[in-house]
Amino acid sequence: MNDKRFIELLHKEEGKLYRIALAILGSEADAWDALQQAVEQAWCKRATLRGAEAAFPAWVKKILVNCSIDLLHRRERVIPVDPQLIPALLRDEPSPDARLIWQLVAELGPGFRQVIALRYLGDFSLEDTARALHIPVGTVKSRLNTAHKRLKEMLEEKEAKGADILETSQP
Amino acid sequence: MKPANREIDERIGQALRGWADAGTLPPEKSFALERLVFQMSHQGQRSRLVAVLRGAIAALAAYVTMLFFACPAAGSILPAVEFLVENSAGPANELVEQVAYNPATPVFNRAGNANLKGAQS
Repeated sequence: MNDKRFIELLHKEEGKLYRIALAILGSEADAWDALQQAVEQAWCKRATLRGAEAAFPAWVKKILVNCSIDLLHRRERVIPVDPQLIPALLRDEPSPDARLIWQLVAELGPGFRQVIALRYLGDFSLEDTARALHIPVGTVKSRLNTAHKRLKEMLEEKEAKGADILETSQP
Repeated sequence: MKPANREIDERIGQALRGWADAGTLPPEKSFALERLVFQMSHQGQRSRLVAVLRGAIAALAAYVTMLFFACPAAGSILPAVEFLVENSAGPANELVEQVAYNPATPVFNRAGNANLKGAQS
């Protein structure tokens, strides 16, 4: 794969990759670092890409998630949800569900954000998530259960509010 | 997983994947990534060129060194052919001498024996 084709494929994925790194790391500066490292590694390892260009998105995402996890451990600090990050995460966000999920993440804390990001954006299994974050599988399960429960409550509240609005707006 | 949890699980998955897919990178960052790839590409080309040049120089140096050691005028450590021939005896060395001085003469006769007619010694 030559440099021009690599850049073409990268441009299609870069926005998504940046958001995945942002969700895992919780900081725009760290997400940018992880993305640059992932691009460097992907360029150096491009000869190992199997399945030609169709496999590029999944392949580069895997590299990025690994780079993000490495960075997370290298920094050796828990990154709290930056209040300024939430608007960044919700920027141009048309999906009300995604808006609710990020509000939930802001409420629950960074440990939940990492589990949710790896589970849903990194396509990690419970075991892989536990291994990547150096926490027991039970903790991953309990965090996901808490997130599910809380999100369900939030959705019910939202739907109830929506129904109230509809009822009051009727003459 | 309970059906209610599975529904929430799928909903979270879909919402977050949709959110990630909708992501865009600011143009300056996109350009920076492009520049990074071009830099790595040019660096790789330069490294390959340097490796080829180094290989060529090493091969040339080895060739010149071998020529020097094989040259009697330069005080060769390898003995000259004449020296070997003068200090030798026997049909094998005579055969070598014949080939060296009379290349037109057949080396073997019809009977398959070595033809030593043209040999000097």
